[in-house]
Amino acid sequence: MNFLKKSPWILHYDASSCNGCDIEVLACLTPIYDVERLGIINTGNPKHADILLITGAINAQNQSVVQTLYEQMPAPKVVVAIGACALSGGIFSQCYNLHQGVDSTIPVDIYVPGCAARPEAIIDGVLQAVACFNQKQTIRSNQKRTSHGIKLDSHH
Amino acid sequence: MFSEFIQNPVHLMSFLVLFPFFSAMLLAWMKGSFWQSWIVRWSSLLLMLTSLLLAFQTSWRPHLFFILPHLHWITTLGDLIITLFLFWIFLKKGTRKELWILSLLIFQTIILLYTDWVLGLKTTPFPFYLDSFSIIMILIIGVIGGLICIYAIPYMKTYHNHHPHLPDHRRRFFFLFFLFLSAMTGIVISNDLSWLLLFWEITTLCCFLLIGYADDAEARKNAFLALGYNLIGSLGIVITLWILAEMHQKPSLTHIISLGKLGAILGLLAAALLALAGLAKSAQLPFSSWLTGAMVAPTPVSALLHSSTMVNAGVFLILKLAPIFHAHIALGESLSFIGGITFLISSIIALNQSNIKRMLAYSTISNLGLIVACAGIGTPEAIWAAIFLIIFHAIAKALLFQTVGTVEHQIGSRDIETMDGLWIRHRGLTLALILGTLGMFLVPFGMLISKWACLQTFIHSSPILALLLVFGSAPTLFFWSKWMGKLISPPSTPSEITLDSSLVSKDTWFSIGMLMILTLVACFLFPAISHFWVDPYLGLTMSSLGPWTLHHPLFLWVTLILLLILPAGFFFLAPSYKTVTPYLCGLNIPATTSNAQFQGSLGQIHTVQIRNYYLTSYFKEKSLLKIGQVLGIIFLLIMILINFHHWKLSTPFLPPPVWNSNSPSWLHLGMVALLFFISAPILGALLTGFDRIVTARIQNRYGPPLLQPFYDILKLWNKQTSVVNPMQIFYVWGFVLFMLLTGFIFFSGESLLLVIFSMMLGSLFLTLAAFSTPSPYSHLGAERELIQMMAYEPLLLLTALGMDLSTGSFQIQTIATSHYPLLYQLPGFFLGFLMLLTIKLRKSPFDLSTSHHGHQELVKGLTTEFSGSLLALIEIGHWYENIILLGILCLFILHWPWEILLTVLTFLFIFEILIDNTYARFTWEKTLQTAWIVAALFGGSNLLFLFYYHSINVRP
Ligand code: SF4
Repeated sequence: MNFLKKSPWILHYDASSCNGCDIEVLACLTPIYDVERLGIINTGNPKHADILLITGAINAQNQSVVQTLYEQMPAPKVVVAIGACALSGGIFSQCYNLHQGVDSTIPVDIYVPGCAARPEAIIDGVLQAVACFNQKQTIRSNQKRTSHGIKLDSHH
Repeated sequence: MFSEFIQNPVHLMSFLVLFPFFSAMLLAWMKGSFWQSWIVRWSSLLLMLTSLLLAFQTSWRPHLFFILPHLHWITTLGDLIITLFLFWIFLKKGTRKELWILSLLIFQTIILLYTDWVLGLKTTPFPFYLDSFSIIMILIIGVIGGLICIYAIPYMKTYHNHHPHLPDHRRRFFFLFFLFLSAMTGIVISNDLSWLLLFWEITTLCCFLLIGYADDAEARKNAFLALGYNLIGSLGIVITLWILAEMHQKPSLTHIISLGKLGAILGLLAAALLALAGLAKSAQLPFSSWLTGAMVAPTPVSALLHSSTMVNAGVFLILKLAPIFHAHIALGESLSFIGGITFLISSIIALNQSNIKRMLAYSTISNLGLIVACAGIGTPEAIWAAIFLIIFHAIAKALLFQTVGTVEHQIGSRDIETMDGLWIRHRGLTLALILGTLGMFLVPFGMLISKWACLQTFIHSSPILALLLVFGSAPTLFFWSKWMGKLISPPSTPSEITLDSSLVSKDTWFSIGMLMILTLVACFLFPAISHFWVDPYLGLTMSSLGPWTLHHPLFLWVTLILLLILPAGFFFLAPSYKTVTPYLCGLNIPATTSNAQFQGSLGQIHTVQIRNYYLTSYFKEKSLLKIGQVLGIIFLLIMILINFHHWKLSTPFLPPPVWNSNSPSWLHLGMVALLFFISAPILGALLTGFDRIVTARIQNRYGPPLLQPFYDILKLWNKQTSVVNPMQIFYVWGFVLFMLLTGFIFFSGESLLLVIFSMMLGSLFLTLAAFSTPSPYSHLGAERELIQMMAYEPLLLLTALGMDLSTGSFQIQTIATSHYPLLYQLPGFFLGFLMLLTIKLRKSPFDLSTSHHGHQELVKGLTTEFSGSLLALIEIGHWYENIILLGILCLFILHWPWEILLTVLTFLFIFEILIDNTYARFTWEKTLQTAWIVAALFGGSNLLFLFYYHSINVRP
């Protein structure tokens, strides 16, 4: 049984969101939506998290931050891009400092559209992301089998 | 001839006094550094071997007296020479400020000459004697003193290389060193007070000259301070001599002790005056400032003063007089209050120190305070504890000072803040420092064994002292641990490179290595030391044989062995891990080698600066010292004046603790271990699940399933483990293993105190795990965790003390089978324990270091840098801890029917959750304050009440 399904922990990063999507993400934690029902916890720490939720587009300032956070998350990990901005830059896509969507910087697994994305959609996105874990876990255990006993290094 | 010589303790003993003296003369005469080192090295070795030989020769003989031909004129002559010499120095170097010292000197000489020439002292038939306590002291002086001498050879060479402007007085230096050792040996074997005075003055003189070695203004000032305070002390001896001569009594220690035991005012007064001398010498309040001032001397001097000589002379004399203090409670209590207050105040002051040598100095003063407190109590158990404190303290402090001195020469600073990353920069020295530190305050090492014994005795004789001890040991935990954290944390600036270990000479390694071995060996062999040397002494003086021995040192040994094999296991069985950068909000600079740099919002590069907490805004050294000095003077006056009045005080001693010596069967122990190992995490996880559901319902949510904690743990276990520093894995495993051991000790019915100490060890491992990363968040968490530990430790210890007072035993087995629910007698402790539970369960007003419902970086502090299986392990360890704490809680109400018990426990648990959800987080100041006030108010009042209630009931 894969317990990742039952306890997806989230790291929420606000790249350059207008805060509209952020508020919807936080709304998921409120008694109305209560994502803790599903074992979801907002951890606020990449080392504890399984899912990286990104709202807003990537810009020149935060590109390295997103990369570092992604790098610091332990495998298996999944990225969920939330809102039009995170998908493609949205209404900010013409800005001089933008790198467009999140997938310009790190691989994105699930795209949740909307401006702002609705809490139901966000929860749905997270649950779809959980489904990705199965796949990732298998890939990882295969890798583990081949590199057994060798200390994995960050430069891989 | 030779074999006859080595078989005769009298010869060996005279050799031990005369030989260092002879070496000293040789060193004063000999020129050339080759011969100097050669003589120092071989004399020290010979000294060490002889003292060992003497120890084995006399281990089965209780005591010996020596007859000496009438050599009384030597002491008078010696005293006169010392006085004239001091006079001369004073004329040369003294300033007007030090005039009071001169007048003290003159006053003292006049009394001495009057006593000697006008009144005439009676002669003592046996001016010297040897008992097993003296033997222990001789061993400490010979072995540790010898090692320090060897250490001093390379140290002084480097010292003069680093300070080229200082004139090289190494000949004088080594002369004084050996003279010091000779005089110290003299002190511990003198029975005649005039001989004692001579040796006493020699040590004062040596100390004075050694502190003033650098001969600059600061050194001179501090040297004179030490001289002045010690002269006040020796005035005590001089006045004793005068009174004895006036009364036509023999000036011998044994005579004074027998007089004092009978309650003659003369004996009591003499004891008080001699205790004054001892207090000054061992730097107790109000005299403590000379020892902290003595830090200006080269480090070998500090090592010598703090471990094997000087301060030990003071406590030695006080301990000798312990039978008098035992028989006279008013005198003894006022003395032990001086010790207890010194212990408490100086260990709090040590929190403030960032200069490592000052921190060590305050720790010495506080430990000596504990010894003095034990002597004041004077029961056989207390003396046992005090002697072991002297032994273990000498070893650990010598080790620490020597290593700190070497480190100082390597990195050029004594500031604790500059020692970060020492583990990476110099493995060997750091290992020595860590071992020394462990030896100072942790189970299973020596100092803690003695502290354990102290707690056990204080609670049966003086509850206020027990309170002082409980509150004084909490800061100890804090300042040692944060120093250890500093040592193992990675260096913050990339420029700090590995130190050159070839600069540490062979002599230094020999000395440090020997002391490291001694630290470990003393732990393993303390039952033997107790049997061969300490018990015979107690039998001789208190006519009670082996009153306090650990019946099962088994668990101590298990802990020690676990500590020793844990590193080995780590290196052979290290799991696979990924190395990542520390969490700095994602702002890490990827290209640099340092882990601890980040980019600010305007693109500039910052280096993370992590400093320790020194709590200076909260505890203030100056005002605390002032309070301590005033209290010290008050109790000093009480101690002396109280003897003029005949007190009819009955001793409210409670009967000593009962030891049930039925050894548990192995099968039983194994079953308990297995049961705890499996069921505690399950129970812990269910409780956490319950907690989360109740929390959700309070917040009008539905909440996760009950089994959610299991899912979380299993998920984490299967994830990748990433670390910043591989050592994290080691510390986390240490945390879990020691929590397991703690539970095992608890459920096999061992001593509650041992459970607490072992739990502290486990918690310490967790903070070390956080300290071993370069992340500022986890450092902050670790420091706050330490503050929390400092806050709740008194509560925890008080709980154990209360249970002991109520049931008469610390054994959990006995406590659990008491005839009534302990809650009826211990309501105050129960309230205190609830508060502790709130802190330990990391519930809201007190979740400073890490929190279960934190979303910000700071509150995840302690666990910031852990992921995957390590995070899972921390959670599991936490569950083990919770179950043990709930177990202790159950001890309070064990007699109720199980359904009531269960209801009460559930109610309490929900109450905790309610508090968790309704309180805002406190600051650390408020946490500390609240916890200590609760401990002092509820725990303290309950303790006092229970103690006097029992002492009335026991003695109608
Ligand atoms: S998608 Fe819309 S609501 Fe969300 S961050 Fe972009 S602009 Fe704001």
